[in-house]
Amino acid sequence: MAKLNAEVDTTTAAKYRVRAFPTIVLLKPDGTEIDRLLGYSRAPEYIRQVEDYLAGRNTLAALEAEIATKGNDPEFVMNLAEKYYGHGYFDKARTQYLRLVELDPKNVSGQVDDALYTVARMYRKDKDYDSTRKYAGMIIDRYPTADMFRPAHLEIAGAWRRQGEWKTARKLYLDYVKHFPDDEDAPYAREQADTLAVRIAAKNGKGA
Amino acid sequence: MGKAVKAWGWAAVLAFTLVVGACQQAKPVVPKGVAWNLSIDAALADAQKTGRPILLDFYTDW
Repeated sequence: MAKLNAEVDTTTAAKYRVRAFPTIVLLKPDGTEIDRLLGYSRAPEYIRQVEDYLAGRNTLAALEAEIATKGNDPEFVMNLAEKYYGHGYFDKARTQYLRLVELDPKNVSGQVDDALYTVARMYRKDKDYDSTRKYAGMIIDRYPTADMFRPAHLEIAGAWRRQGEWKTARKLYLDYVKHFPDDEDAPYAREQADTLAVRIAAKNGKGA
Repeated sequence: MGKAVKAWGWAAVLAFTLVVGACQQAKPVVPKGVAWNLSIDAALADAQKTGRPILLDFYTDW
């Protein structure tokens, strides 16, 4: 057993693609990864997961071995996508999330909006804001009753903001407040709009 | 603070479980806390001697 401060031993943290804390990685004695646990969970759940992994159940390797037989099952594909994501294999994760979108166009699984949202966020981290808007926009166009319908609006506004298109972003934040005044994120949208108004005014002042 | 304490608590519980599991067929052992390695190399060296898997806990002091 080893306890590593990921901020100190950055080489090992990078080697195991650790991006969230805490991350517990289980290794075979030869150092190859069995699987990992991300974040906090209750002790019984935690122990059950470790036991599963040590028995070779629900590991990335086990899931990959099932692709040939279960590769068309939306639930399986979502699990696989999340597994890749947790392991830091973002390209593979993206491929599987988008595979789910193809397999379940009507969102019977209820997870397609989550998949699209994660893809949009991955593109945001890559600073590919056009793609962020494309995939968040798909949620808005296709799944108006889904959980991620409202967050998708904020994601699009955020993409414009990060790109420096403050006026467009501000308008979208204000639209959000107008359309969803009682939403729990409405105060956040209002705050963003106000901050952008200050920035826009400062920029205009400088230019004058 | 609360989360960090919880994480330590769970790590200790887990370590206890693993130690007990490993010693099931031997005489009962009262665990005296976790002897954590503080480097991956030390953990790998241990694991190669004992043939047991490694639990690698990446944490931060945030």
